[in-house]
Amino acid sequence: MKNRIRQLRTDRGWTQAALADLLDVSRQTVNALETGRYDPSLPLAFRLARIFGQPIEAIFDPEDDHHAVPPAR
Amino acid sequence: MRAAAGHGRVMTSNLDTAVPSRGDRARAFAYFRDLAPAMAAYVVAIVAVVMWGHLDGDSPWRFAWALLPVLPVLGVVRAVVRGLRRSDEYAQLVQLRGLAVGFAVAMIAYVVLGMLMVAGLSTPAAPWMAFGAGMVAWAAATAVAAR
Repeated sequence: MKNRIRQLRTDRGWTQAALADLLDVSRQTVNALETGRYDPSLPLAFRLARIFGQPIEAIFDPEDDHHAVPPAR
Repeated sequence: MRAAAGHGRVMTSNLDTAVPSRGDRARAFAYFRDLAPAMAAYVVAIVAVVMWGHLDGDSPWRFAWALLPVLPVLGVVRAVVRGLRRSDEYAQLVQLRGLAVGFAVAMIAYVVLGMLMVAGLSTPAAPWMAFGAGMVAWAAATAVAAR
């Protein structure tokens, strides 16, 4: 799933390590999130939303997600 | 320090350094604090067994001596489990993928060596070969999963 984590982080002048400490995860986890190699759990996604002050849907883009449920007709 | 924009991409070399976070360092130190005493005890136990165990003798105590290094190995297992529980969700996923591959390789190696021994192959090193295969597979699979 695409996301804007790296952009939001660098806009604030934060290193990956600084964001990792704010999220209480490892720097490698931040790197995996930013590069799209790992989609976070719901609690971690909410922590990201709270830290960046943005709704989850403004951070993550489910456009590429083949598992997305199609909208009801 | 703020990032500078260029060619539509944000150039943030100083913000993307691979320097570990404070949490990373704290977790690594906690893991080392758990692991180091267990490894030191393992080395002491091995030296004691080599010096005084007489595993090639006929004393019934040689079996107790042979099992002595297993006790500190339990400490190593405890350190690994505690380290895993301290890890975040992505690190746990990577570690568990590595452990799963290592376990599968070790089990397959035990079956292969076991069948070969049934067929007449005689090698006292067989369990160590399976152990080594599992450990190498664990490390390699963890490294691949973390890429």
